Parts: sequence; C-alpha cells; structure tokens
Amino acid sequence: MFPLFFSGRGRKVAIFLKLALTLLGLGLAGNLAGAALSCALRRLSSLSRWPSVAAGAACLGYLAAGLAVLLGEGTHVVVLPMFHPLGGFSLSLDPLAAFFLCVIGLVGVAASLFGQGYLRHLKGRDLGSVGAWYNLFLLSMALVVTGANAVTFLFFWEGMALSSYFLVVSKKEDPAARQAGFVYLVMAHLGTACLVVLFLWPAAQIHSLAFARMAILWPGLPAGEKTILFLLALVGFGSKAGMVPLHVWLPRAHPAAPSQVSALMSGVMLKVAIYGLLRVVFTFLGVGPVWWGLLVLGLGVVSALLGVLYALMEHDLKRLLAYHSVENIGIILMGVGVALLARSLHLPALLMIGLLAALYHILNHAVFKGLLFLGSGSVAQATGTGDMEKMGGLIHRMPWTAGGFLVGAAAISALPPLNGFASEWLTFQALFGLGYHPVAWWSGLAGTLGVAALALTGGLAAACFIKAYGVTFLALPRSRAAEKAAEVPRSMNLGAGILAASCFVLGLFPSRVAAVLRPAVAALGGPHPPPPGSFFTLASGMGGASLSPLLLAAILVVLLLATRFWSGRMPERLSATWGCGGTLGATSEYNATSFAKPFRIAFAFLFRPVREINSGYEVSPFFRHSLHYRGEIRFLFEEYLYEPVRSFLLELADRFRQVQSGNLRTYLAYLFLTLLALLAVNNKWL
Amino acid sequence: MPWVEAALALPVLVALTAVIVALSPSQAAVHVQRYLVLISGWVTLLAAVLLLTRVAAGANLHGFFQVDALSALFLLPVGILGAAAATASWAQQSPPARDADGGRDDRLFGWLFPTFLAVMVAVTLAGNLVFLWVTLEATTVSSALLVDRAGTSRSVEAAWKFVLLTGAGSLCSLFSLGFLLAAVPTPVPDWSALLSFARAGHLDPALAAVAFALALVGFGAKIGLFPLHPWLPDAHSEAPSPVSTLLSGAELGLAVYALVRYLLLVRPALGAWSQETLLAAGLLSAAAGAVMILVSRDLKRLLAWSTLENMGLIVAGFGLGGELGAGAALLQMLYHSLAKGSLFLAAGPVTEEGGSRDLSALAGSLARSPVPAAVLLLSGFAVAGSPPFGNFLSELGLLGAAFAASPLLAVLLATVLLTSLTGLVYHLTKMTFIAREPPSPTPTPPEVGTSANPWAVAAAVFSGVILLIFSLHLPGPVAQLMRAAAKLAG
Repeated sequence: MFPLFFSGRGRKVAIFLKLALTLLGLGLAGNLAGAALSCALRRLSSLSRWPSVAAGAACLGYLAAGLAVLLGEGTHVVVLPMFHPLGGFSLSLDPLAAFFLCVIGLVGVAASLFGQGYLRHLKGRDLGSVGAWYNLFLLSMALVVTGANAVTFLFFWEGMALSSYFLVVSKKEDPAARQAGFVYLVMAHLGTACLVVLFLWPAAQIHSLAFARMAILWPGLPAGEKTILFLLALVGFGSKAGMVPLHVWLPRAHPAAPSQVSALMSGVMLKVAIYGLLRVVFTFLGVGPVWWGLLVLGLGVVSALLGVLYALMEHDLKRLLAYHSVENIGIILMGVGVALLARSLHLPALLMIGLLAALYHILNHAVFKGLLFLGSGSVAQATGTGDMEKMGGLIHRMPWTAGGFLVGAAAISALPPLNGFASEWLTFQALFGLGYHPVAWWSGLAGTLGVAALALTGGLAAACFIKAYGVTFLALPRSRAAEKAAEVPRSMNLGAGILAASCFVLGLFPSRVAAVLRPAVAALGGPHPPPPGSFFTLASGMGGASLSPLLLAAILVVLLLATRFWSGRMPERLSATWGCGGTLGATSEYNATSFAKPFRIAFAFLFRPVREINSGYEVSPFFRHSLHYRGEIRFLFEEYLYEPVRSFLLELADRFRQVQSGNLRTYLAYLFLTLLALLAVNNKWL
Repeated sequence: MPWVEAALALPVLVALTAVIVALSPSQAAVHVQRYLVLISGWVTLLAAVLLLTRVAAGANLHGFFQVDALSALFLLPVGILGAAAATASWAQQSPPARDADGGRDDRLFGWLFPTFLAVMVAVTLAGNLVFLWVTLEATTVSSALLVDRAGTSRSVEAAWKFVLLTGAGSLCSLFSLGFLLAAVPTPVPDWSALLSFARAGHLDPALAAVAFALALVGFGAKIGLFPLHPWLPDAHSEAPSPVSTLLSGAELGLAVYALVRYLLLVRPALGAWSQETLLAAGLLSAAAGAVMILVSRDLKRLLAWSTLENMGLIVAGFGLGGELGAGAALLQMLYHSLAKGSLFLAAGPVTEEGGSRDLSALAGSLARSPVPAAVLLLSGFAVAGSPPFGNFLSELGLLGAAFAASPLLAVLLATVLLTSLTGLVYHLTKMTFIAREPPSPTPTPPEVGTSANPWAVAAAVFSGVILLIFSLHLPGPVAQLMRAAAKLAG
C-alpha cells in the first residue's frame, strides 16, 4: 500500500519489518476507528467501551511493531503523498522509534483496558469526545516517534498537545481544569515555538527537513549555532518533559485528566519529549562541548530533588504522582547528562551505561507511573476524591487495587527486585563511573554530587510513598466515602495487573531487557557490543559491579519465609493501642500533613510554608471549641518567574489598546503619516 | 473563451435579477429575494469551482478579463464562503414583524448581498487595472451598506468609518494607478501588458516607487494593515455574522490579491525594497493583531483582530517571497478564510443564544448551544494554528520562509504566532467551557427570534468540514494551482 524502502540485513529482518509496518498500520487504523466510533457513539453510553477497545488493539499493534523492529534491527521509511511548501509527511521506524513505540504500546494497552471500566463511571465529562481525543492522543504519540521529517514531527507533536489538552479540560464545568489546561497549552506552545525554530533555522542552510539529512548535515554547522540549537532543544523538549523550571503545567494538568489519560501523559507523553531530546542531541547535533552534559546533569539533579520535595508536600494523590514524574524525568536526565559528558570525553563504555540507564528508566517509569496513576484512578472512582486526607483503610475494601499500588510504590522507591531498582542502579553506576574516571577534578565532583543527589532523591521518594500508601490504604477510613469504598471492576484491575506484572519482569531480568534495548542504544551512537553479564546478571562494566535481581529476590523470599516461620512460633497477645487515656479513632491518625511536617520544617527555606490557625473559644483561649488549620507552601518559580512575565505582558497589551482611540481624525492621520513614511523610506526619489 | 464569461455572468445575472425584483413593491418580492440570496451564494461557488478546474486544466486568459492560477485561488474562498454565508442568511433575514420598515431592510439586503458577491467575483477576473479598481471600490460600497444592516448607531458609525477610511485609501490606489501608467512608455491599463513592460525593464523606478507606496497605503487601508486598520474591528464586529464572514474571509483577501498584482508589476523595477516594505507592514499588522487579541473583551472584535493578524501574516508571506513564502501565504489565505468563515458563522448562533457579544457574558456557551460553540472552539484552534488544521502547516511554511531570510525575523514571527494563540485559546476556552454562575433551575425564557439558527450552524459546519478536508488532503487541482501561483508570485 505504501512505497517501502528496506534497509536491513537479510530476509529475516525484512520479514520483521514488514510485520512491524503491518502492525503499525493496523494500530493507526485502530486508533482512527476508535476516534470515529466515539464520535458516532457519543449518545450511546452503553457502547462507550468500544473506543477503548479499539485503542487497546491499536496499542497492541504498536507494541508488537516496536518489538519486531527492536528484535530485527533495521529501519524503514514510509512516504505519505501530500502538498506542502516544506514537503509532506513521512514515517520511519528505526530502533529508537521502535523502543518508544513499545513504551507507548505497553502503557497504552493497560490504560485502554482500565479505561473500559473507568470511563463508564466518569461524571461531568462528555464520553464521546473523551474517547475520540484519547484515540487521537495515542495516534499522535505514535506518529511523533515515527515521524521521519520535521513537518510530520511538529504536526503530530502539536496534535499530541491539542488532544491531551482536550482530555485535560474534559471536565468542562471545572474552572481549575480549564486553568490547568490553559497553562498546559501555553507551556506546550512555548516549547513548540522553540522546536519550530530548532528545526527550521538550520533548514535555511541545509535545505532539508528530513531527519536522515539532518543527521548528516547538522554536525557541520558552526559551533555557535549548534549551541543555540542545543539550548532550543533543551527548552523545547524540556518544557514538555516537565524539566524544572518548565514543569509548572505538569502538576496542574496531569491530575485534571481522567486517570488512564494521566497514566499516559505522565508515563508516556513526557517520554516522547525525551525521545525528541535524545534524537536531536545525540543523532543530529554531533559531539558537543563538555558543558552540555554538565547542564543536562545539573537540570536532572534539580528536577529530581525539587520534584520529590514538592511531591512530599502534596496531599492530592494525583498531584503527588505528577510531581514524582518531575522527579523521575530528573533521574532520566541524569543518565542522559552522563551519556552526553561521556560522549564529549570519548568514554564509550560510560556512554553506553548512561544511555542504557536513561532508556531503561524511561521504560520503567512509564510502567510504574502508569500503574500508580491507574491505582489512583481506581481509588478516585471508589471514594470520589483525590484528597489523601479523606482516605484511609482502603486495603480492606480494595485489596487488588492496594496490591497493585504497593507494587508501583515499591518500584518507584527503587526497591529490589522491582524494575525501578534496576534502572536506578544503572544510573548510580553511570554516576559512579563518571566519578571514577580521572578526567578532571570537576568530573569527579559532578559524579559524586550526582550520586549524593540521586541517593537523597531515592530516600525522599521512599518516604513519600510510605506516606502515600500508608495514608491512603492503611489504618482507619477518615471519611464516609472511604468507609463505603468498594473494589473496582475486573477490567480496571486487569489493566493495572499488566503493569504490575511488567514491574516484576522488567526488574527480574535486567540483562535481557538490556539486550533488547541494545539496538536503541546503538541508534543513539552507543557502542555496539552488548553489556557484559550473563542471563541472570547485569554488569555495568564499571569497577566490576554487577547486579542479579533474581538472586536478590531469592534471598528476599528465603528471608520472608524464615521470618514467617520464626514469628509463627512466638507467643501472641492482642490488645487495644494505648491512647494516653483517651480514645483513639480515625481523627487521631497520623495523616499526610503530619507525615510531611518534618520535611516541611527541614526544607523550610525552599517551601517558605504559610500556616494559619484560627481557634474558636468563648471564655478563655485555653478552652477551645473549634480549631481551623490551614497550611500551604509557596512555589518558587510561579512567584518569581512566571507571574512577573505574565503581568508585564498584560500591562503592555493594555497600553497598546490606546492606539484604537475611536477618533476618525486620528485614524486618517495614521493613514497620512503612513503614506509619508513610506514615501520617505524610499529616498531614491526624495 | 465562453467559460470565463459564463462564470462571471452567472453571479451577475442573479444579482441583476435581485435588483430588479427589489424594485417591485409587492411583498412577494421579499420572498423571491430570499431564494435569490441563497442561489447567488451557490452560483458563486459554482463559478469558483468551474474556473478553478478550467485553470487547472491549463486554460489561461489575458485581456480585459484575466484568469490565471492567482485569480482562481483567490476566487475559491469567495465561492465557498459565499455559499456558506448565503445558506446562513436563509434564516438570518429578519423576522417579518421586527419593525415597520423591516420589509425594506430585507429588500436592501436581498439585492446588496448578491451584488456584493458578483462584484467580488469580478475583482478576481479583472485583467484591466481600472476595472480592478472600480470593482474593488464597489465591494467597499456594497459591503458598507451590509455592515449597517442592524441600523443601530454603532453599526452606522462602523459603516461610516469603514467607508471613509477605505475611501481615503482607494483615492490613494487611484493615484497609484496614475503613477503606474505614467511610469510606462505607453499607458495601457492592462495588467499583462504592464507586466511585460515591467519585465522588459521599461518601468520608471522613481514613479513606480511612488505608485507602490500609494498602492500599499490604498490597498493596505482596504486590507486593514496596521496602522490603517482602525475601521476593521468595528466594521467586522457590527456586521451581521454572514456578512462578517464574507468581509473577513473573502473581501480582505481580494485587497491582498490586488496588492500582489501591483507587487508583481513594480518588483522588477524596485527590487528588494518592495518586498521588504510588504514584509514590514505585514509583520507589524500581525503583531498588532496578536497583541489586541490578548486584551479583547468582545467575541466578534476578537475574531476581527485575529483577521488583522492573519492578513498581516499573509502580506508578510508575500513580502518574504520566494516560492516558499508565496506558497505559504497562499495556503494561509485559503485556510484562514475557511477557518474564519466557520468562526464567524458559528459566532452568530452563539451570540444570539447568549444574548451578548461580550466574552464574559458568553461564558458557558458549550452548555447553551453545544454544536455552534464546539465548532467555534475547534475553528478557533484552527485559526490559532493547531493541527490537524492546515493553518499549522501554512504557518510552518511562513516560518520556514522567514528562517531563509533571517533567524531574527523568524523568532519575531514565532513570538507573534505564540501570542495570538495564547490569546485566542484563553478567550475561547474560557467563553465556551465555564459557566459564570451555576445554571439557574428556571432558565429565563429566550427572546423571540433567539432560538438556534440551524442554517447558520450548518453553514459553519460546512466551512469547517471543507477546512478539515483541505487540511488533510489538498485536492489535486488546488495543489497544482498553489504551485503555479507560488511560482508566479514568488
């Protein structure tokens, strides 16, 4: 159906590619069918699951296509006929695109399964349009990563922003959602503007917008121009990825969308931005100066730390998860930063570990963040709220959801043998590797500081998820809604279950995962030989360190069995908790605010917390009958970066309005003066 | 060739019939005129399509009537929006008992609307520059009376400013024609003859420069280029929505068309200066429009400011020149017309049902009038330059052309686009989504004549669907003409 150009090795590759193309085509068709269906079926709510089914089938296609290319190694290009002054659409599926297609497919399948049960219970949203935008969102993401020229990339990049925007504002009556959507759209377009400049500026010299030509011709550009291009890519893709300080839209927009969309936005869309960054910086720009890597590493550290710190202060489950996405993007950027440094310093082994760490963490974060968002969606559906203070004790009523969330929480806290541990271990190895290599004093310092920051981030993330899991699922319910919560339909748990199982698989077999990721690493300029290690162990090649999660898991299981065995022999006594003479209930529980308090105090210089306590009393302040507490923290970037810019622009526009005075004589004067000016400019005849 | 005359004759015949019918005192005449208005729109579309296919098939004509890729492309939005606006007017015509002389009002509309359309068709076919000037002036006169259809003091003021300012402009363009004819050895007002003079280098540069400066002011006033624009937001917002559609989507394009024709004549003599002036004027207008979008408070004025911005972009595209710049400008013209037509047509029912044009009073439109508000929002995104709409691609083309000229220019252009997008999205989403106060259990009974206007909605959807089709796949003949016109104008 399309003209095909195969470049690969042998017949096996060609078969894989043909298969991949067919599957990708089927996937895209499934998305389009889903979008069309949901427009047609918007009035029939009983059929509202079908768009999700189409989306799920499409994502299976993406996943299979991506895997086929990763296992077959090769690239193919599809050209779509179209008139445009800059050239039409074309698609290409190389191993890097295939890897990201796998990420989209895996999380997309789970989210679509979840969505079948979830959408039917959504209130205040137009199901037809949610289904349509959901399908278009998946379609755009797949076409962004497979786009083979700048026009295709930018078109679907914008399509991705627009479709996700409509999903964010799908709760139409909610002013907060609209505000969130607006902030999101503005930040997204700020990024797109940078990307347009990024792609079109060199095009004026190299006369091509095809990615294949860019990869050949960009390295020859002048160094100064390449630096500007690098910064444009960092801002353009960073704003979409949620890199600090461009992250302000993220904690607003992600929670406002339906949960399976939040899972896709946090788990996948941010990664699509990282895809763009990797593609441009590694394959187009060529080897750059050392400070590029240091800048990315530094931004990664800042993003990781600030993300987790703001997450600790959040009491809304989905906002908390959104801040953790900022944190994890930071961790991914640390890997990318090390890889960039290694490339500038010509250290191929370190380059490979850095890239592998970044790609692996991209996949892992997509899986466990998707899982956590799906879990939060189940909780939101069962309790009708996202506020953790109003939850509690849900483990008794929603055991499957609680189990899935626990797996996700353990994975994001990088606990072995789950997948988060494997990729954070690789990131640690990359940072240690940077510290060990005796290149210069600053590389050692950067590596060491990076290790310290990553360790602090990991500790804080664990604390945060103890808070999130404990306050939500354990102890006693703190509201009527939490008391009456019930387990969600099976399809929703099945969606989460796929991701939970993936957390285990990706965590237990890291060397297999690394082998599958190898073509993608190679596509980014990493060295070809596979990372050393056996089937069961992953070795970093840095100081002989290696990791065997299966062994770790076996030890853990043995320890668990041993403790159960020994504790079963101890005498047991059941009694009520001592309440200092009072009675203990749900209100005396340790809640999210109290859990976060030590961190609020320790990091007061950053949060600058504001609190307000109003006590009601009649006779004496010592005998209070009511107590109102309000606490909040202030946000650094909103206050000092975005607000001044916004008010300056509005002020300017308001001044400009005075041109339109309403007086006809003034207008005629404009006309006359323009004529004079035009004639005067042409001084050839004056 | 008979088909050009046929294309021109059909709308003119309908317009003449409408004028004759208007002279009849009988009440039935008003009824007949309603049909004539509808027919005139679709006949214009027919003429546009006819011309387009014939030109794409290789036909070319130079003489008193002139037909090439440029004229066929500029006629296309006139045809599509003409059909859409005429359809929307089917129910828009005032209910019989609005006031005592409501009948006469309708009678005026009944012959002015077909006349306006016929005159616009004539503009694109004019090969003679005097004829071009006359027809362009006739579009001003006929549309000014249409602007004042509401008969309120505000609409009278808007129409008055419109006529005065563009009238002052058309004096300039008349002088410009004089200077142009003085600049050639034998003063023939025929465009192709002048072009061959210009290409042979027989144009006096000094006189051509004056002619171009005057033309820029004259046609610029008609396009609404900054700072000659002040009439534009008034006129386009006070006119009834179908008329606003034609003003914003079709009429301004014709002034651009005339300016491009002049540009092609003087460019060989003036060189880069002519292009650079256009570029500066276009960018300035685009920036002014984008900034004013941010602080708009009235829906239709917001749309008018966006028109100013887009006209600026189109003119800047022709100013950037080259096949890329001109091609992107032509695409931008086509996509903007379709999107803006859909916007204004949808704005009609939305403002009628909301009972106001004030953006904050229109809050919650999506709940009140779901279909037109959804169309309004989507075409708003289109005008703002979001995929899947073609406006994104044409703006990308403009940026590409700007980069080829200078990166600084492109960054400026990108800032303008970003500003206008921010403003449009902010206002339109706020207007459609959020209800200002929770809807009261007993809705106030709508006033007579404020019920949904299905014809306007259908027309808005029609324009929007064509936009979407053209965005995803530009039909073969149109794409072919785009290439040819870009080559001619680039």
